[in-house]
Amino acid sequence: MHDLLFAPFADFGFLRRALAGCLALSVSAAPLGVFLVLRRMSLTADVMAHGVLPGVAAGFLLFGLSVPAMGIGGLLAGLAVALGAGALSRATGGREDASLAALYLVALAAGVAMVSWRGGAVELTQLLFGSVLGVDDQALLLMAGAATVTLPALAFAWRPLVLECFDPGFAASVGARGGAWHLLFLALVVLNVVAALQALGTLMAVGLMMLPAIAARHWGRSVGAIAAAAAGIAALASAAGLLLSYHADLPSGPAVVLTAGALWAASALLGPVDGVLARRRRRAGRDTGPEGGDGGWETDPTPGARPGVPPGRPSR
Amino acid sequence: MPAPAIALTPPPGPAHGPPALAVRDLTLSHGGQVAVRGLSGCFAPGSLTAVVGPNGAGKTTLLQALAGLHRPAAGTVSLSHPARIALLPQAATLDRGFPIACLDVVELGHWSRLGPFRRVTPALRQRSRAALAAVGLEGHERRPIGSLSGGQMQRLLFARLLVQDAPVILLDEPFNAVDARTLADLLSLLRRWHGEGRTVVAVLHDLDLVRHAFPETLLLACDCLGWGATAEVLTPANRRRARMARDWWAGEPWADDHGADDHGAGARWTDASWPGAPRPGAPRPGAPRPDASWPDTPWPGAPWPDAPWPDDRRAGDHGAGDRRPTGPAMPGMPAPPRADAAGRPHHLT
Repeated sequence: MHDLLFAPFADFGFLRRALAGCLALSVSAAPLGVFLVLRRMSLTADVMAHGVLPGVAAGFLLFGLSVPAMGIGGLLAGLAVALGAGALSRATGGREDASLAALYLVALAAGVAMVSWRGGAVELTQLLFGSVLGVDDQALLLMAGAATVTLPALAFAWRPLVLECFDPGFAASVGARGGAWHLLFLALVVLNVVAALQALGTLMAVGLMMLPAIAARHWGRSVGAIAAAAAGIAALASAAGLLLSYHADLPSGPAVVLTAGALWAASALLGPVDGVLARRRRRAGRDTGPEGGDGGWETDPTPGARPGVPPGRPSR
Repeated sequence: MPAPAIALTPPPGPAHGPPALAVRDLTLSHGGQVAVRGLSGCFAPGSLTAVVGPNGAGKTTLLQALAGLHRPAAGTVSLSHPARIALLPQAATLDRGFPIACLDVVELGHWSRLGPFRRVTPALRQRSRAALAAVGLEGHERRPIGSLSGGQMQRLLFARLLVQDAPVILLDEPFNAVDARTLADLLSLLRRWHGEGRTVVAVLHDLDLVRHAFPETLLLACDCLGWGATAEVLTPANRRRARMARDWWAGEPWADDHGADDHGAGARWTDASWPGAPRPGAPRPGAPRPDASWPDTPWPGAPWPDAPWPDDRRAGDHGAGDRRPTGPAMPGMPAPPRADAAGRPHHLT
């Protein structure tokens, strides 16, 4: 047991660094993912992750496998894609999802071509799928730094983001300036995607952002609860995924994302909110009587049943 | 697009001081399509105006422009209360699965006081709770909105309007898909706002409701076909003109998808019992109750007809039973006494 769970981290410094980095990312990226899901932008994150690749590749071409160069290149490219997709669809009158799909395919192909031009298969694999060995001190600093920036910024923008997600029309009518918050939010997403590149790779960078967020929907009924659950699930997936990567000799990105995917499947099955089992139990409860349910909201919509409110009293 | 501007000025209402909302030569367009053309006039302070018209008539766009959310292609909107407008968008635009509790939704109405960062004080929280109680959602504070029925959701949004406490209130199809009891309750809130001197503008489809509850009407079919006292605007001739305008728009091949408002609500307009309506007497989809229960009394002085359903206003009678009680809603049946039409709580301002 000890050998299985703790020895790898105790014995190998690079694995400890990767774990520390992934835990930092779990805390910052997963709550961002919750907002992406709520804004129906789940795929946008993926597009951004691919969109950073040409920037990362440019950094790699110019400076080799240097974290600052690739990070800055990725940040710039990611922001360009995030803003460009919206501007492109507005300018051409097309649909935004179509522009996004076109952009990310081009970005991915360009990135792969650029890396292949100078680098070999090893660098390409590392960029695409991540490697725990790639998490050096600089990468760890980038991941921790991203989390350090993201968490206060997210706390700062929490109320406007929730308002903007829930009721954009109302947000606009009260002058909540949704555009500025949206930009801040997109910048945070790009920052986290870039930070995740080293450990998880381009193709998997959003895995730690989106999968825990999607899974967390089944564990909470408020945005805060869901964000906390997402961070927890992401942390669990990070630790378990790195162990899997070590023991099964897998690239770390796929290992972590697969673990997060397993947690998502478990949440969808077992989660108390809209989980498959919870729904089935509620339906069974509805068939047998009001007591059989799980206290689900649909089955008990009458506050008049509360003690202390005599029927017929006008509500005042 | 060259167009003759039809400018009808509404009669001077009980106005004193500047108009709450005035529009001059207002032209609004959607992606090159003109939605509203050359509208001029004003909503007097304290007026209660219904905006009616066929689909694609630019009603929603007009409301958006009044709220400052749609930039006019030409003309101006002038407000006497800048930034103090409360807008209720169409209910269909909200994500009902959003993980947020009822009380939190109501507290969003404090935005103008709190902004993004300030703390919700106990006094403000108390007002939010009181607003929830005023719309009959007592005890729903911690409920997620996903558990609400359509009528309850609309009550919740009205509670948010209460909290916003704005002098100008714009409502986009506020009574769509709500049950009869909710309709009556929300309408009494509307009258309360009217009584408090707030300016209320509502986009509506139900012409009977407009005749009974709204003193003034703006009939819009891209052009303004009438703006003034409801009885003078909703004449058969005007309504025919509106219908013809609608048919003209619909006949244009490029106007198929014209206008971003009134999604799929066409049936209600055509099915209204107008002269020449295609299916007179057909039940209107979404109409909360049969026309027969709405005695045809002209507006001024006409009291809201007593509701023909029993007034068992238990606080909790909204949930699963939030649909219209069908049994006793027969025309001609004696209406049981109603406590709430006038007796709504008035402690909220």
